[in-house]
Amino acid sequence: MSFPDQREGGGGSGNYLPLILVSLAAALVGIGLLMIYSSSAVYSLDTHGDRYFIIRRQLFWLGAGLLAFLAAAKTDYHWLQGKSRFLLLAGVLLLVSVFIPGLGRSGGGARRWLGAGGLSFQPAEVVKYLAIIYLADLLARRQKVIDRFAPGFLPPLAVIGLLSLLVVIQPDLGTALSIAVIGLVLIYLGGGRLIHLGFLCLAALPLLAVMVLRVGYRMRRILAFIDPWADPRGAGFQIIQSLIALGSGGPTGLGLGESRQKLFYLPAATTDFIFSILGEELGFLGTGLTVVLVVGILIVGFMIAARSEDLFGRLLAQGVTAMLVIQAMINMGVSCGMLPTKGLPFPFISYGGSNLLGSCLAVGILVSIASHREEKCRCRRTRRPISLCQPNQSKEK
Amino acid sequence: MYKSRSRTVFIGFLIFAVLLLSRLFALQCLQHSRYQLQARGQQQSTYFLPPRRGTIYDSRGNMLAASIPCYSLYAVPREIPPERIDEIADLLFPVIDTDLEQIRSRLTGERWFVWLKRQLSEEESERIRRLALPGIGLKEDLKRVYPKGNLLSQVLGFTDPDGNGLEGLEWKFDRQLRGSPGWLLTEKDGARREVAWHRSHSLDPLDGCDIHLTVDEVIQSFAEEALERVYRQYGAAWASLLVMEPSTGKILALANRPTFDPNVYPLSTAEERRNRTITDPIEPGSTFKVFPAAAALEAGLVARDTEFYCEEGAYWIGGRPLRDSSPHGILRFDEILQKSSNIGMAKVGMIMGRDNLYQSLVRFGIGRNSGIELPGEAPGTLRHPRDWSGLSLRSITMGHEVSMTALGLLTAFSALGNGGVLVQPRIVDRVEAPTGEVLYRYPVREKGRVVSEETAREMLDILSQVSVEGGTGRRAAIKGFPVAGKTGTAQKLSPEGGYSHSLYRALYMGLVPASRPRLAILVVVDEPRPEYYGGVVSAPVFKEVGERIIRYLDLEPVRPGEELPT
Repeated sequence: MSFPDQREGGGGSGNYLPLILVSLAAALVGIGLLMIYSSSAVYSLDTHGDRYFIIRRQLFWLGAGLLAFLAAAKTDYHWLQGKSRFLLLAGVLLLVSVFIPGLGRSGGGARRWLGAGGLSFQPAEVVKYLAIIYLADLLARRQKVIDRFAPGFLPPLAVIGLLSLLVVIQPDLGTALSIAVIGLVLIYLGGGRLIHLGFLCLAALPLLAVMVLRVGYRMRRILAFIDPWADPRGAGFQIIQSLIALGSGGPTGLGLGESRQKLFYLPAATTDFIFSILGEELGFLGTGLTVVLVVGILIVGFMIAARSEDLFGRLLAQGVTAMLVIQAMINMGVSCGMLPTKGLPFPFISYGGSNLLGSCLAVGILVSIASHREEKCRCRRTRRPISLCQPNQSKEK
Repeated sequence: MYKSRSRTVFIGFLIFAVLLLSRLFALQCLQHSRYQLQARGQQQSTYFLPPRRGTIYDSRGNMLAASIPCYSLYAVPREIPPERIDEIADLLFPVIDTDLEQIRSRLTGERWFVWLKRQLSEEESERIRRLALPGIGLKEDLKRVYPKGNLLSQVLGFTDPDGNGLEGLEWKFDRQLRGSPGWLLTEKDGARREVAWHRSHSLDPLDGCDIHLTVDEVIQSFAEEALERVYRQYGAAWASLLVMEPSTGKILALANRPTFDPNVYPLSTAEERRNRTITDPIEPGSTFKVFPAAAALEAGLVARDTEFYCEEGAYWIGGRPLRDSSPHGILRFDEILQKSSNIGMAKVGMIMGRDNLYQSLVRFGIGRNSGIELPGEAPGTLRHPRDWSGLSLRSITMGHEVSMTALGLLTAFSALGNGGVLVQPRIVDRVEAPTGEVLYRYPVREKGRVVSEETAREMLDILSQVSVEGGTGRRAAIKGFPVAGKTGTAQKLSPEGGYSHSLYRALYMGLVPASRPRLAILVVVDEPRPEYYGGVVSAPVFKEVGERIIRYLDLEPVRPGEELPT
């Protein structure tokens, strides 16, 4: 496997994609830093006596995220394919480690974090991308038997099930669901039979229902989603405060730093509901732009996938893109009351080191896929039709 | 197949993005104002800044009613740990004078605010501050104080703890005294703390206006002291003393007994709070004789030396005897007044005739409100001649079948001291803005001439004979200052109907000095015992108060060499 220098393909039609992607991601990170500072300054001052307490941590994680991005971008994604089993194993170990006393940390009734010193890390935020790498590899390898149940459908399903289970017992239903949904999307894209997927969904519904109904707060959140005003001081409080933030922002917003709702009205203003504060300060212009940026990542991600020669690259690019986009959309959907309250962070934007690190890693993977296109690049340089390259590709395999 | 599935996923995401955008557009552009209203509703709050209530001053600038800063005790029940409620209630108990159970119940619950005690004294608030209890706080408040206690209390009235005027001038001039509150629009955070940098609009409160009275605190205290003494000495039902300046209508003193202390008004009874001087019409008795007499003189129907046969004390008209307190034969017109002969006055009235008498009494303002700036003034009654019975004419000439308040009586009498011109009485001199600017000054309001200047002078001359030896009012005489006055001993209407033979009302009213009156003083003592003559009970009060005022005002004696001992 050769590592072609991507600069050799300068002027090629696929070359601007990494740049656009990085710009989109940088814009979202920039918006995120502004909003985190704006919505955390008073809180930080109030609880830590230092208005930069939270933003400083986020900047630290941004540094870590940049390193992760560079590492992932420089690494040929085919290397990941070879190490996918190892990566999955590492992911499972990380998820299990939060339950080891001394290593794991709990907060808000959940054990989701690994701690070291003043920093804590949420493995699930990174593990979900490791899962995508493994699933993409698995599905690419099993193409010939993909339409059969036992050898084709069941193995990826087992992987998805295992990871989701490990996450859901933390408990973190939101991340578990997003892993499951992305997993199923990958099976679908990888050629899984619709009838298998359909039956699975039917089978999963009762399970999901039990998980919701058995846990009191989930049920209350669903009910609050249906009618927040039924319990405006309890379960409906968060969604009402979020709607007030977005609605009072209006078309152009109150102005940067002018949010009122961040002043202890809206809970989780720096994390799960940062989009509402964004809407309050920057208005529909800000929220609209954010949606456009996310759609931009969707388009670029899928373009990268389309230009990738191998199925692993395509599935990996689509999986990673879908993971970023689905989290962003669920987060926004919750903020504006379209979805029941589900604590999912906004990639790039929400405060939280693991989230930022995971998002940067995802962008790195996408850049890697866009850059490491051995056959195509060679074809461009020789100006031969791509079809003529096909034998080459098969020869190498 | 792969391509179409990619496209499906891609389009799925795009559709959701479009849905998101439409939802955001609806929230932020279409329903913006609705949510803006909700946001304001929970974020903003308006505080009212209370204005300082105006001060009431006497004519020399002494404070009679003022609002002073103090602290009020409140609790935030939801901030009190439930396990400490009993302990806190025990600590607060010595300060709040309600029972423990009530304190505990006020401290319990989820409320944000509840008053525990308004307007603490300084040591009380200091004690609370030292206790430093959770959920217990002191709020700046204003307390209405009446530094002179019961002095002028029925006139001043009082306010409730929130500063709303309830009675007297406090009620009547509430709008002027109250001022208008300022407000402060601020924003609060989710923990209900004020967000200082979002304090956007504010308006300073406008303090209330000050009221300056015509009453002189020193003269008022003379009146209060003298009235208190006579009220106690004779075990009277009630008593009233009024001092006016005839030429201007200014009330210099107005005292009532029984009385109360407005600082602790909840302890008082309605009887004590009653400003009888202006709210209770009484039959003026013999003091009333001056009005028909002046009218007869003015009409030229009698002269000073016109003689009347006084029937040796019993005059039968209308089938009933009319009696004098002591029998007289022939009396001159001025002697009738001096001896207060009922029979003589009845004959004077008969000379005048019903309509003539009625018209002149109306000119004196009898049966109408005087127009004083105090609440609750009663007009009294003077019936029209068509409603009079056969006995009415003679009754009216001696002050029965007619009623007027003490204020109305002295006002009408003062006209004689003012050259025959009736002046509206007033107790408020001016209203001043907090800046000291005079907003309104109550002018001297003349209400028309009732008799000619000559008649007035002649009447004063005649009445000054009342207070010399041989007159009923000799005990009112003041050395060096001739007094023009008239006594009255009115039989009270008895509850069984008709006039009582045991219940009397003793009156004396006088103008001093008679030649150029500076003071008009009326003393009413209701149901004095055992003495009940106006000349015995009330005239000495007039003399005492008159002398002290003359000394205080340092008036020049009319008869030189007869200065008052100082």
